[in-house]
Amino acid sequence: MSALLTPAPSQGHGSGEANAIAQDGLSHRLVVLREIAGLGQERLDEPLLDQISMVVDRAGQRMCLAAGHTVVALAGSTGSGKSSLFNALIGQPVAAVGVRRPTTATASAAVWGQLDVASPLLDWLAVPTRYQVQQGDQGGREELAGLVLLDLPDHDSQALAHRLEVDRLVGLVDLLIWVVDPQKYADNALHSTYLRPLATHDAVTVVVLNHIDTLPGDQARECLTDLSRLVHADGLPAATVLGVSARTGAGLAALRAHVHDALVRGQAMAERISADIDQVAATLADQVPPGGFAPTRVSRSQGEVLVGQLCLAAGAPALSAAVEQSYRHQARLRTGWPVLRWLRHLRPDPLRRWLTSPASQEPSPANTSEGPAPLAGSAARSRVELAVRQLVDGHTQKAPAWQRQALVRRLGLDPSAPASAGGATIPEVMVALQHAVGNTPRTLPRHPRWWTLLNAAQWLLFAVLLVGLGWLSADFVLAWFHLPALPSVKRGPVPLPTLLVVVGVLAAWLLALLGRVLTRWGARRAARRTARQLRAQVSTAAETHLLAPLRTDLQTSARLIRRIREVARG
Amino acid sequence: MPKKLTSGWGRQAPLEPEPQPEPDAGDWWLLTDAVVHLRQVLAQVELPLPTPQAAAARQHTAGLVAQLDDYVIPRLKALDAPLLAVIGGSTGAGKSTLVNSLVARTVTAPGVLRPTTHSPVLVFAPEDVGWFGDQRILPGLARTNAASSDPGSVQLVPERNLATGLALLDTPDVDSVVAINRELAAQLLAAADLWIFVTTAARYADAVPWQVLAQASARQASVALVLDRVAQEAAQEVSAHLSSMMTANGLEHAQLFVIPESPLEEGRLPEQAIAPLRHWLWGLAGDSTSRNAVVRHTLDGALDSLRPRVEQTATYLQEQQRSAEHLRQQCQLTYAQALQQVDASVRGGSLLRGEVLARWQELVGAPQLMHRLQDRLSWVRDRIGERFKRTPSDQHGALGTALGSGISLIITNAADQAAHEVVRLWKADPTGATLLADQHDLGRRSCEAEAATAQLVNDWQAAVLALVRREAAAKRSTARLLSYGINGAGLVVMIAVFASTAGLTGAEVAVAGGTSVVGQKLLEALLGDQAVRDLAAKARQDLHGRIEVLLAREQQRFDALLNTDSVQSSTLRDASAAVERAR
Repeated sequence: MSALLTPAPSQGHGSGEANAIAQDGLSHRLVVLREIAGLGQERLDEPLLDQISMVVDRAGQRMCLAAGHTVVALAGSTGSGKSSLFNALIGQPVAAVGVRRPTTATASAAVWGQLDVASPLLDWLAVPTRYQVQQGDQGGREELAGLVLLDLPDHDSQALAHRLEVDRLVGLVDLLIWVVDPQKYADNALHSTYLRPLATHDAVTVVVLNHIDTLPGDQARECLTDLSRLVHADGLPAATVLGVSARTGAGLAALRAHVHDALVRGQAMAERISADIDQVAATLADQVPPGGFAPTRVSRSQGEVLVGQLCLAAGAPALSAAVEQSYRHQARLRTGWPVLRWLRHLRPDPLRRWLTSPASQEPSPANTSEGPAPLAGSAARSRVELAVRQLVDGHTQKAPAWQRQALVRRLGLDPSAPASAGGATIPEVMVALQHAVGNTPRTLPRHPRWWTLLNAAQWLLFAVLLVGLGWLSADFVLAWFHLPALPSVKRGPVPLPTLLVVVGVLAAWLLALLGRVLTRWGARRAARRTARQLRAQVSTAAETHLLAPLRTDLQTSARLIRRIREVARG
Repeated sequence: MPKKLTSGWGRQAPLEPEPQPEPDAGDWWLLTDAVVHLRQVLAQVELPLPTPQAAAARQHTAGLVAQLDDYVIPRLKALDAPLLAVIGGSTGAGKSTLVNSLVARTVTAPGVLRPTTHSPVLVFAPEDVGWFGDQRILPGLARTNAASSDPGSVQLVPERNLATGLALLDTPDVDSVVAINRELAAQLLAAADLWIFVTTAARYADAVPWQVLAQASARQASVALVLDRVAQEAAQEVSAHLSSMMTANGLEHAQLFVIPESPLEEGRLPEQAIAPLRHWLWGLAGDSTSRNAVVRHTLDGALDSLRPRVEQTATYLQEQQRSAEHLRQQCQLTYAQALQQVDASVRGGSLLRGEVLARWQELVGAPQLMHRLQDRLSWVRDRIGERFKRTPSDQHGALGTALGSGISLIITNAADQAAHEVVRLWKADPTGATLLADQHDLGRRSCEAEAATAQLVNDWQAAVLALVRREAAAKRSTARLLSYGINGAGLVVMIAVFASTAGLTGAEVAVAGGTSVVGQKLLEALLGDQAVRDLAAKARQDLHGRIEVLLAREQQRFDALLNTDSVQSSTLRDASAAVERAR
């Protein structure tokens, strides 16, 4: 009695064209998978990357080896009758069938067709026991040409070596036939160790209930239904469930037909590899946030916030204030009342302090390459690190953990990261900030033209004052010595020399007042310009050292996520 | 070689009266109390850490507790209770059929669908209802009178055909596809006086049943094997192979019953096939001496097994504590380093750069005039004092704010870095990685850290002012400092906190003073003052303490994941040793 309870998936029937398309799709997925392995370096976990490489390598090897063959394995528990089924399919008692358990110790292979053609494949599978199915054998039919049938050891055997051999071969073959019997079909060992982890492989999985001849009446059907239910519950809805009896030959035709179908379609190998890819893709899909896209851009406002913080760290407000003060200082030196101007010289230029204080000194190569990183542990560096961390957090809110980890490492926030992986980024930023601060004030245009005008006017008025004073003094001296007085020149009621003195003082004062207003305006402008220039320089530094690497990293991660989704979609 | 189809109980021949003296009643109660105490200690064992062995550890401990509850304690309290024979085995081995055949009535329904038996079935003679009607054994399972599929209950079946003094318990499969069935089977087997292990010719070499049998062998439980469904032609070879496997697994004294494959009669095995097993079981039930021997054998085995099993639990417990300690230490070390780093920044003078420096210079000014005119320190100091007093408070404020924001930046960053580092270290450890699996916020400072830091800085600055005020009232030596006013003095002390550790070095003065000679002189004058330095030391101590508290609160987030209030492994070992002594 046989029952084909779940129809085989009806994809890609026969035609070579369909096969070629399927092969192309498979190659494409493998290429994508290889790309994921490359992009995933430093991002995904090491074991996952290993798993990807294993799948890719194995697929490559298998596709190179005798693509015309289909490797079918009979796996199952002790005493389920794998060897009997093996013999029944061949039509010759090749494998020893015993009542002692466990029986089959190593796998043996039967090849339909030329043995030497298949031998590289068998070498790759490392199956030493080989048998060529002859035309004369009962099972040696033309229709099964290209079939390589493996008889595996027991998967639930007490002997560990048997189980390891099963695990190895289950990973390599194209089509898996699990042979169970009415006693053991619900064994946990089969379901939890093999079927559930291989849930993605349901297209290349057949579960065969052997010994159905021992079940009376309706029990065989019930048992098969129950087995299908369990297999379904294991997550293999597309797996084929068949009932056979190796002893009576019931159901063997259906099994043979299923294998034949797989041979004709020639898709088992591709489906197997595809299932392997699905399996690793399912694991990969867990690494990607469901729905939504991780941001790939750095928004304007995020960049602004970063630059703002970097400017603060560079001491922008203090520098602007110094520039403002310096401007006023210089302006007063140039345009102040000449009488009191010398007093100003006694004060230092506030900007000179900035230019010579250690915080803004040009970094020499010596203090960047050795010794503690510049400004390590300082408030400025802390501010930079906090700002960068905020930037990272802003871009990894919904991103997977590995992306944050990669960014943290790339942007130099991980003190354990080597310099090549971004460990030197923050010190570089600090040096760049120092450069920016050191360069900015030197670019200021000095001595605006109005200073010269004002200066000339002040000196002119000073001269007027001096003339007036000289005149008055001359009058005074002449009067003292009772010499004839100079001719009295009057403008209206006021004598000219007095007028000169009053105008010289009053106008100078007014001019100084005007100068102050202009100075204040000019100083503010200079401060603003300094701030702008510093900001521009800091922006460049932020772009070079932080934003560009961030963008690259985000794009790489986005590409990785896209590729993972692509391969997970199938 | 196991004896086949014979009545006899291995080496000790338990059917013969055993020359073992009856236990002294007093000692017996002492032993019972010791076991009950051990059970109470075991209940306090907590294994919360997800170490790689955690699942095994919890299962082991749960199994131990279950056996004490289900079997050891009830058996110690009632040695003369009926013999409980538990029928266990693989799926489809024919356990239910065997039970039905033994009592010659269908008490439990076998089937071809696996797993068949859901809730266990307890069959006993009606006279023994007093022993099994209550929760004496298997207190965790509810009693029902009808068949049910609830694995949390046991179906009671009083059966007239069963001998008095014997109870049969039909269990779920030991290798069932349903996890709860497997666990229940293991629990029930651990509660048995006698294991009747059923396997078949097809599956006697399966790995899972042999693991169960190895356990039984290790615990010296009384075991009988039933090899079911043996084809006539294979009987000799299979039973010989099974016997050799039994010998290899330490079960050479176990009984082996071979039941040939034969058509069932009304769902039961033919009478002649089941007769030897029934005869043997009924014999045990009827003879109180041999029954006691079986009971004592299993009980002794179970008691013997307690010590290594408790030791195993203690080892698991220690391993958990070691793992927790390892993680805690990593965490502690990282936060200690963070504190050290903040300390170094505070002491190293790096705070007195950038904005703080600019504000300081704004405040102090740098009148070179004064330098030219007057170089006398006291004069400078007095002039500066006036300046401090006269300077508008917003300049004070600017310097104070710059200092405050500097220190809070350093603390916040250190908190962030430490959290990140701990996560990095923990991720490298399998236990730590599992602990952190659903903790996404631990990789950065806590959300209240920023507010707490701001609060810390405010509190500290207020505390410095209060300190200055208090000291000023107490000492005359601070009079000069106070000439700058409380706010000015507070700032001077804060600057001093960040300027140096042990004395002022030239570099720090240069940093703080810039190029201004007067600024330098001023600082030397200020910081060289013993009173200022004493105050600065106190203020630094205060700041250190506050930062330590804040970082400890940050660290607490990690420690909370490791906290357990489990009993100590030594207490567990003591309880186990007490049981040994009482025996």
